[in-house]
Amino acid sequence: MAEVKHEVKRAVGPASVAWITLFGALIGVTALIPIFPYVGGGGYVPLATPFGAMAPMLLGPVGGITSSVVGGLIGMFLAPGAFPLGLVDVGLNTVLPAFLVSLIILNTRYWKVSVPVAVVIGLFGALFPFYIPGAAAGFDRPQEPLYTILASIYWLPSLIILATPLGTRMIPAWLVSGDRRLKYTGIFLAFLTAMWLWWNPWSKIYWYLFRYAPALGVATTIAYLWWIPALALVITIITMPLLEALGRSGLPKVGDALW
Amino acid sequence: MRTVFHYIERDTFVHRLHPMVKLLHILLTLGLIVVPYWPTLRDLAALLVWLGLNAVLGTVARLSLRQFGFLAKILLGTFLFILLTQGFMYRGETPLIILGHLAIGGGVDLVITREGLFFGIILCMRMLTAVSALPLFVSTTPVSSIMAVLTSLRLPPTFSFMFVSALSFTSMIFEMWSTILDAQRLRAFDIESMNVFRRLSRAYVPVLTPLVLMLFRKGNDLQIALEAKGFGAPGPRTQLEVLRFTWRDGLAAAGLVGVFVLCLWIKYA
Repeated sequence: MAEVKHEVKRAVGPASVAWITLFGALIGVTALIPIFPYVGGGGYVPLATPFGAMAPMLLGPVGGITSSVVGGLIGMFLAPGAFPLGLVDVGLNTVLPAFLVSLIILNTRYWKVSVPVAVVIGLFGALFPFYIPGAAAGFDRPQEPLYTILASIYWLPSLIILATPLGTRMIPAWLVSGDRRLKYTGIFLAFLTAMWLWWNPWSKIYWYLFRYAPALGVATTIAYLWWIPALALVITIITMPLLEALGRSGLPKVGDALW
Repeated sequence: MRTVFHYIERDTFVHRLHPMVKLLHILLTLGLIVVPYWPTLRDLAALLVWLGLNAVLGTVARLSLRQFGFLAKILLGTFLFILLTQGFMYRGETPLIILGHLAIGGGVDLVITREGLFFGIILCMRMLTAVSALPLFVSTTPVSSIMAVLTSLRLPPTFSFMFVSALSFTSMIFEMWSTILDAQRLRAFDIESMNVFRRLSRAYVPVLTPLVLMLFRKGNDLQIALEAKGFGAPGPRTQLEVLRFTWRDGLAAAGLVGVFVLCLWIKYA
């Protein structure tokens, strides 16, 4: 009698379903913890955003993005104050950081995807909402060339990193390097590249919904200049000991993860 | 750290509703808040009608006002920010409060306009409408019903499992978090007495690192339990809870769509 074999699905990508589930739950819970107030006051950036960003480094890109989706959905229900736009904020607060960090981890193979993504995000950041939809939706034009120069800080360096050997070879190699200094430099640069790009959709959808005046847009762009490097630094500070601890824990390693 | 929105077991009309109807309510809410708004009474009225519906559903479900008070407290800063920025910057013509005159360039009047303030109020209502809808789902629907409805929506079973399990694991994470905090406090490391900058630089790492390690170790046990119970095995699946869509659910869904259409009519007619 022929033996019948069935494949049992127990993982998403290289990471196990259980790890993704539990890390997703952790991302959801961390939505309750504020780490940065919004510039200008009001709501807060939850700890879930750094955890979404670091998920691909701990669970591999596929597992990390999946856990960020699960965690974002959980966070939306646990901490609606951190996700005022519901599903849209799930995408912006947890999934997008995980996706962008994944692109950088995989940039040796997928630069043909990451470079166009950076260009699209750059165009979105430069044009939305003051030029597109612009006057049709009641938005005035900002002071130029000041606004375009300021806006380009949030996407042009990332595009340059992703399209040059720094992003296509060096950073992905540093991320898996045995030299700790190189590895941590790579992790910081990966987060910085990803979070600069992330800021464009994350902030500008709110500008559209809250009808930002051009002057407020320019002021906000200036106010966040220090904020993205600071956020990248905080994520790096949290990620480094986690990677070290996981590396020494004896737990089974996840493929494409950085420990 | 504790969650304010979790399932509260009660026997009310909202609790008994099919989860699909409650999901419909969330989708309609999102639909209503993403359309563009202008500072008109009609736009405000449309939002207030939906907000009123949420309040009625919350009352019927006997949800505590304290929970929503907590939410309002979090959002208060956002609301103040929106009201101020819109008050100053929206292109209004009717001055409400004149704060002064800045001698910059040709001179700028610091004026809060009536139109700006009104538009700010509309934006706040829009946010409050969205945020008040989510607890109605999570506080009135047991995890098993969420699982059943996700399965009936034909979502991948692995994803449904992960979502529902993660939702139920949150309380375990709170316990672990609390245990680690207590352990660190015994070592004279008290996070709650630290300011925000000290927390960012020093506090989270000694708590989060053991938390993630403990979680991953638990994850190994969970994976073994899953495999022992045949998770991911091929073949037809059975469900613990089979939900039935009754005429009451149909009526409730029609009612929600009716109020949604009414809101759009108020806004656009």
